[in-house]
Amino acid sequence: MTSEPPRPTLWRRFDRACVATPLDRRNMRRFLLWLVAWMAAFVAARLVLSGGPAGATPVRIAAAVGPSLIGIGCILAFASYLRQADELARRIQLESLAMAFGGGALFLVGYTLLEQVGLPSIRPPGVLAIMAMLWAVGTVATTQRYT
Amino acid sequence: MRNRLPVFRAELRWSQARLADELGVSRQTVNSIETGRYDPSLPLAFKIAAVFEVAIEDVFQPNSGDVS
Repeated sequence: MTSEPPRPTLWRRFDRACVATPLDRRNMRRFLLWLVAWMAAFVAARLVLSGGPAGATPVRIAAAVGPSLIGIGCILAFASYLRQADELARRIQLESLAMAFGGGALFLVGYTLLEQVGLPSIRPPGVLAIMAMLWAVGTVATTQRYT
Repeated sequence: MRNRLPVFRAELRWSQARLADELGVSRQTVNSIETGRYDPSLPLAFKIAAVFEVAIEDVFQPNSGDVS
């Protein structure tokens, strides 16, 4: 009786489909750590700024500025990933970022007009979420086209 | 652009993963070049030719419509 090899997990299949060298994976992990740190700092800053007395105390200024400094680290980590990335991965990122940026701008401009006909106003995190979603969709679609 | 990557790779009995390691690219990049879905950059094309120790035009040839 022959036993069938175990089916690869969903994560394993996703990992295999990703266009990445071992260096790219390391760089992407580093970027994701920066991203998580940025998000965590943002949530912590919101908590600090929402409690206590209002005003520009040193702690409140540090809380307001801190997440942006970590955000700069995040951007530099992504730029470093792109510079060293596999050339097909770089092409995929270029096209998906173009889709995210262009789609986000299109949405922002279009929605400004829709607000004037009664739709509720959208906050910047909403636009960011749409851009992130377009980036993810663009990455999957472009990867499928090239591989 | 057509290429003879699979032919040269088969002669060396290399897997796509092995060739990718030699070139410093991902296995998917080698696969995409072989299937014609992606045309490599000039530096990578030269690197591929160097790995197989042949001239670049031995590996890559333009499609008939690519040159007038």
